Amino acid sequence: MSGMFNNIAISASGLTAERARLDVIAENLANANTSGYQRKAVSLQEVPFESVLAQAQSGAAASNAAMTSQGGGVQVAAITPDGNPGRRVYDPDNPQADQQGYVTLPNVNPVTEMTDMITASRSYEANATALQTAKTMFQRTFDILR
Amino acid sequence: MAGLTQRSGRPPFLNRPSSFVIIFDVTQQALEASLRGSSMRASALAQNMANINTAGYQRVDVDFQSALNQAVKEADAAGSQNLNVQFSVQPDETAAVREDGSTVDVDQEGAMIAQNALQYQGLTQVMAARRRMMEMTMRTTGT
Repeated sequence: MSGMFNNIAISASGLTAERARLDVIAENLANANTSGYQRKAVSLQEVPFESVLAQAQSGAAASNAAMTSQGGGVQVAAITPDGNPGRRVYDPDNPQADQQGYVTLPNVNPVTEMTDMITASRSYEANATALQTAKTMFQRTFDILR
Repeated sequence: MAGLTQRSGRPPFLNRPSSFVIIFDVTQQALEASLRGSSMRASALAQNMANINTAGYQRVDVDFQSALNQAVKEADAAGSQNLNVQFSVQPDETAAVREDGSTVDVDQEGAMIAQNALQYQGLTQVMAARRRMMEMTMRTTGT
């Protein structure tokens, strides 16, 4: 992707990343009471503007073709299990209970998950708005010919 | 007008090479360059918005106005009708750092995206107006 539509691709990558976060939050919430489940966390990573930054650093004379930015956006770097110990709940009737009658539940805190969910949802909206703005901008380009 | 430096007693447009076409004057070139710069800035701002939750991310920006201003001044000084300007995406070192090491502020980015889009819209409208003016001229001189 390059040129005008790079902009849309970048915002789309933001949408994908936030959706991935939302998916993991949903999984954590769904498995809040599943013994043996480990809470997962998403870490995001920047996809840099490769050619443009490299060119600026090397000081090479950029042609008009190279002016268009390449790459850019965000990607999910990793979905890592949360290493913290789970909650120990006394439930002797549970078939998965240990000899003391305790079941280990994941350390999923619904409050944390809900706040993360709000963040992911709002960030999704922000990217959707940026995409909408980009779309309007490109439509304006055609106004030159009108 | 930018680039129309008067070198003799004659009006500046007579100093242009005869093959020179007036629609591609410095103003037109500056408009085109602005559109290019604004488009590139939109990508940079979209990149910042996409990385709103990336810890340690450093925001990027394109200062196309300064580059263009410089290029127009240089063209003016040289009496040249060719605008030579390049833009690049640069890391923004001045923004405030968040607790997680990122330098993106969602409100600031949103405002900048809106501002940049409006600027782009203004540029396209000026270009459209210039094009209509040209068309009007052609209609007047035509049979």
